[in-house]
Amino acid sequence: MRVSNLIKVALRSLAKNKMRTFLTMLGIIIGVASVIAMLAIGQGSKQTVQASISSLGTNTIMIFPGSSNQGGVRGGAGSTSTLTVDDADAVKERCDLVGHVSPVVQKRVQTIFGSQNWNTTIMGGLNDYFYIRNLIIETGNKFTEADMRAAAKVCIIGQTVVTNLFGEGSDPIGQTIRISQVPFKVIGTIARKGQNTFGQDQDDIIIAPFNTVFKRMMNSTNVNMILVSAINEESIDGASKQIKPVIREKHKLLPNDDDDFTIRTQSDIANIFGSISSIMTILLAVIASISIVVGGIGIMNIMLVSVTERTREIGIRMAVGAKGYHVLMQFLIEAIFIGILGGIIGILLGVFISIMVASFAGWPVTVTVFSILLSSVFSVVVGVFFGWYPARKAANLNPIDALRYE
Amino acid sequence: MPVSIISVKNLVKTYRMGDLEVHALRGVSLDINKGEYIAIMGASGSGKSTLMNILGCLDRPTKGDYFLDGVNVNTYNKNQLAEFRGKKIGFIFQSFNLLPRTTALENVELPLLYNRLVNSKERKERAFNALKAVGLADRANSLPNQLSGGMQQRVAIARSLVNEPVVIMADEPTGNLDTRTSYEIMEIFQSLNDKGSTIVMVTHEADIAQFALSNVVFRDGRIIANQALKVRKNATEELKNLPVLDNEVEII
Repeated sequence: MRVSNLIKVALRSLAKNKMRTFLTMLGIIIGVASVIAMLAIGQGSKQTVQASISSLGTNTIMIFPGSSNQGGVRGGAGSTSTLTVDDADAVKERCDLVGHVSPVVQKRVQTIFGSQNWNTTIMGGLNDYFYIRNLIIETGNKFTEADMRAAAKVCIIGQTVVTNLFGEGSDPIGQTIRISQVPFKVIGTIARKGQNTFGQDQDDIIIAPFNTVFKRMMNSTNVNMILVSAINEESIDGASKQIKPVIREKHKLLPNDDDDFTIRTQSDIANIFGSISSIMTILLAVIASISIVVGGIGIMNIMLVSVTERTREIGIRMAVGAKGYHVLMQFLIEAIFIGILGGIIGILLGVFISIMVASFAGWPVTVTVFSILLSSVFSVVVGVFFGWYPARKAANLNPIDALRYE
Repeated sequence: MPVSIISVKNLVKTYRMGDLEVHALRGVSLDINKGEYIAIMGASGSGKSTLMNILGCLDRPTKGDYFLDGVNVNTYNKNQLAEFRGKKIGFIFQSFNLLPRTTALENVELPLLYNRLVNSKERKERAFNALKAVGLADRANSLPNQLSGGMQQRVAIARSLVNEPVVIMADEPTGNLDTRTSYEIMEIFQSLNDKGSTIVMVTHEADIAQFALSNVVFRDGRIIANQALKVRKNATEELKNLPVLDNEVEII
């Protein structure tokens, strides 16, 4: 018997039981569709997280003040203010893997324009701050050297502040706003950045020259953090290794002392979130795979019923010349076909679900070739694996018993 | 010199049912020549079905030799037997054994489906010709449940003919049919036999056995009689003698 005939016979018997074939397939369809959709959603969330982490800025290294340790009582990170402008200058001068450096001071302030007022954060930084944080000036200009030196009362404001003080779409350039009673001239706006990984609105911000905020608004000689960018992505780790001894030296720490500052790189954060979403993706895929296996058991179940129900048919086929191999192949092809067709429908359904999720959740849901390959291979393997036992059972029937079967 | 198609020597078949040994055949020897039409008779449990299964290569004897068309079948394995059945033997069963939800033509095609040497065009042609030979050319696309019992058995006969077997094995072919239809089937058998087909038929109906050329009688796993019929009934004439509406007449 030719293979084409075997396939024809198998397909015909599936076509004779359309409803049953479909129900059997359903397990595989749901399993494959969920694998595809789960992996796509997992990938999408990973990309979202990564995108928002890189929106923190490129090649960013953050230096935070460390924990206090006075008389054996240790405070948490940031419980002391140990970083100074000098630290930032030293880092800039002595670390050759460091590109931009900006000390940062920040404060919650109430701002007023006309009859509107708004509570927001003012950041004092150098022009380097814009490079490090990857902020783009939408309208207006950055600070001039003169602004910096003279601690000029000028500011650049984020879109949320624009909306709340001036109204959507207004042009605030040249207007004067009062920040904690001090009048500031708006010289620029920052392009919209959206929320960061932690859900903070990155557009709810006012940026002013470092000296302006540091000298006019802060009561401390310390800075809140130092933002640094490495010269390129590969040098991030190298740069943080260079920074550490420089600050230790500036802080006159003995070799046995703990650091009184913390260095965080953007890749640290990205790695943490990357591994979290990888674990999530794997978890989702495993759960979805279980449903494929359940679908496979469904195939086996139906094939076993089918073999019993068609015992007589098997007997007739054997009597007129079918070998065990022919019967085996006929049932195996049926099972594989259910697997493959279920897989194809599942892939289509999975892609459809992914697209739906993408459009509802606004996530960049990505269907990967890997997930399609994985689920197609899986569905064929399930077909063969769970089809084998019933097919074997059919092939081993004794023709006399099969013919007599009622 | 008649050519022997089937030759069995001292066939023994013993079943084991738990501790009990059942002797279905206790040394059966039989020769069937080409062109024979033999009816095997006997009560239930006399061993005639067991012999039929062995002759049909569906079962193997416990002891003894079986030559079919010059081949010692005992040396064949399961797959070789299957192929041999497909090429040399045509089967007709009491319960017709057609594939349900499969057209008459496809049912007849079935034995050729497992023969690599026959392509699909030739297969359809031969199946159609076989259906024509049993007078069902116009019902080729009917499903078994759309056909009467007699028609179904005729489809089964067509199926047994389509591979041009050396012998046709019919196991109680009229067991499920009324008298008139039985005679119609016998008419087909006789005409096949006249054209040279070798037929082995198991039956327990004495009147049906009389359409054959010779009768073999079984009892307790042994042949107790094997004789050619002196007066052979002719199915065509018997049909003429049957009351036309015999069923209705009986009811009245």
